Amino acid sequence: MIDIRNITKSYNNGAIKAVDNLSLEVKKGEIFGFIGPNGAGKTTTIKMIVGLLNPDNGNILINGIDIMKQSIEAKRMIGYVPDSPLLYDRLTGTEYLNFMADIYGVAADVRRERIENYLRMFELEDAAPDLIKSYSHGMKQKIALTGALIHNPEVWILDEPMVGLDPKSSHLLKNQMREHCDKGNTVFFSTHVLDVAERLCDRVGIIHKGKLIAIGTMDELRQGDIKESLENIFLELTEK
Amino acid sequence: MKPFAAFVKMQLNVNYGISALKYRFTREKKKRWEPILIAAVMVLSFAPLLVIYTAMMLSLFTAGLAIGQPDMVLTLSIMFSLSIILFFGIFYVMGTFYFSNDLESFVPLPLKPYEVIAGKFIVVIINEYLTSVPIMLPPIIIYGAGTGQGILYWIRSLILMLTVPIIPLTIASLLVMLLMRLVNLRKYKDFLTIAAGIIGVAISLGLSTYMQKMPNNPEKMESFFIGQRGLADMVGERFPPVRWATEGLTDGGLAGIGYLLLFLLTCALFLTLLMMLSNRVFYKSLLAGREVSRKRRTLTDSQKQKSFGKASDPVIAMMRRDWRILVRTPLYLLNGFVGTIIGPLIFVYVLVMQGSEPEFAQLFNEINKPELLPYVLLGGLGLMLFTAGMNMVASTALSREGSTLWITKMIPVTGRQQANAKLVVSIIVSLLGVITTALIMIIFLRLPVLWVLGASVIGLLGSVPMNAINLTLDIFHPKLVWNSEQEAMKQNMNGGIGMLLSMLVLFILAAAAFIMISLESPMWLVFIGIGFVAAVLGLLTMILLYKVAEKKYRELEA
Repeated sequence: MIDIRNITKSYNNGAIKAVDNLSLEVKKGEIFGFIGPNGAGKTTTIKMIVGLLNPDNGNILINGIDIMKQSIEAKRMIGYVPDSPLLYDRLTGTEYLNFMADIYGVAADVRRERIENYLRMFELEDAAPDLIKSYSHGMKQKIALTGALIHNPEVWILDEPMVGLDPKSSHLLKNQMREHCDKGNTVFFSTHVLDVAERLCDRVGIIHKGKLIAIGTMDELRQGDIKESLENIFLELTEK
Repeated sequence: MKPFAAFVKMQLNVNYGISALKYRFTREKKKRWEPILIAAVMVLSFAPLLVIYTAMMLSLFTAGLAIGQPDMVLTLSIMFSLSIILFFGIFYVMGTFYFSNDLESFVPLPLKPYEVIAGKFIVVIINEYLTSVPIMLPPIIIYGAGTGQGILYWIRSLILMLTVPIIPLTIASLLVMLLMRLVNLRKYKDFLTIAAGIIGVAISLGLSTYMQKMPNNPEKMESFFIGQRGLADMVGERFPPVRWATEGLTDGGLAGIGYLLLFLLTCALFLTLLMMLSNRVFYKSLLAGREVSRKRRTLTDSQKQKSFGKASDPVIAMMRRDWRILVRTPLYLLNGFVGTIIGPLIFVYVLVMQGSEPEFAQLFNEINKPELLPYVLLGGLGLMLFTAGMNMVASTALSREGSTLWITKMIPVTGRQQANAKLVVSIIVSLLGVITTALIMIIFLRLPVLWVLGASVIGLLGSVPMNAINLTLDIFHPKLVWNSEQEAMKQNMNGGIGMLLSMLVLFILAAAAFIMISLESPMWLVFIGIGFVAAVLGLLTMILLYKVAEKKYRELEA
């Protein structure tokens, strides 16, 4: 569960509010899609949730634990992949995954099974012993995903996870997200692909100029008009 | 604006963070004090060195005046600048020409290879002024004021100061380009890059030694001391531009202008050569260097077991990560290790160059006498600590993470654990310096093994506070935005300030030794005393390190 309470993040001494008094809750068992135009504050919000940025005000609780106050405990429950994963170019994929497994204290036999599963799923088995430097963008994305999920975290936070993935991997990832939530866990992801958000998410939040301008299930967002697509809703709301 | 002018402007902007500075001063007013504070710390840290250097130059000028050679001080400073720029230029040019992240984006631009090199070269030259101007300005002022020179002299010195880095940097660039062209033909590129760096450094050292070696001929030396033949004249025999530069400054007549023109012409010639060569080989060597080979092999079951079947503690995992990145990145390896290992070897080289066989035999006899041995060991310990503190591995440890900082921020690891991993890695590199020095003491100076081992333990102990304070500095103020690995290490002010902090630790330990010796303590007690002071300093700096790390790792944003 993710509980965001009145977070604000501003730059230039408060002149630019990247995120403005944003509150939202993502429940257990829920896939939450976070959408918004470029520069709306999606990545800033996500970075605050995982502890990369410190909010000026407000709190963020991961399963009831404050990411600012008990950051280590909170971070243990999170698996995070950024929008453009800059990894250690001079490590091999294998070394990176082992590093992540060591950091999260994943036991040897468990890690082997999980790593093998993900590498097979993403078709990375042959590339794993190579330096990350030699990977394409999509391969880096896949290794980052594997590294983030290796400790089987309850809360997945993915910033534009489909970008760079081939259709098959993207499809498999979406299935994994669904399975993960069906087990009572939480997935929070941002995307520009509104079709994906519409089909996959239990609830969607739309952020514009740092403020959450709409939140709810697809039905709630449609407000009774069944034919209304998320694209139309999005355009209407963000072009006001 | 012409494309080349736009390119140079952009390069300068990126290199000096002009837009970033503007932004900081106009928008982020709270952080305005940061660059000012850094500049102040830099000036204050280097001021004592500059004062000592100026005093040395002043006494050299007075001595030169006495033997009728006031211009000696100028020749020496020009030579010194050339050697230093040549030596550091190798790494610098390698980093800027071949390992910048922005290079690939220039290849598709409608710029000729020589224009890209020229743009990068201008940035490097301007950066080198930071080295050459402090070396040359004091002697120029001393000579100018001491001999009452007119306005022409000052104009000429300005021209000279601006052009002095050209020749050594061109030599460095030519060397690097040729070596890199060879390197990229082979499979083991990273290894060969390191070899190329070492060969480059060796060649530059050789060239400097060749330029500076005094004639052995006693007649020539005599004519120097009675002032018939100037130093410039003698050095000029080996490397004429030094003579032309000196004469161009000191000769007030037409001949002086002629010499200066000759010097400038040489610079132009070197530059033309560089531009011609860059058109031919630069892109070839650059692009070949960017190709990464993949092996693409499926792991067998036993390989999988080996790869994934072992878990370790997070701190050890972070140490392993840092170590692998350090030794697999040629520029980190060159800057961090080569200095540590080459430093003591240069000491041997200087000794060998200056002495003869019987002199050495006598030297070994002398230093192994019981009354002298402890002092020699003390000197050796000093050299150990010096090499241990000069590697910049600790003072750039967090900076080197650059754009991968998000991983560090994301993982559930405390600031103390992060600091511990980095501290151990830096101490291991320092230990290499200690071991090299110890080996030299045992093999070359033939000192007793047990004593040298004892000194090494104290050396290792002394490297703890050095590395801890350097690491504290980098965690307190890391340089995380950089374009090339070179920038993260060599163009990182923390490196320079860190070395001064290491020297401060060395100074405290030396002062402790001095006090105990003047109190007539037995030598074994002096060594134990140094070890004790080092341990206390280590403890204090580690407490500081943990405090700063816990706070800063929380505050840092990625």
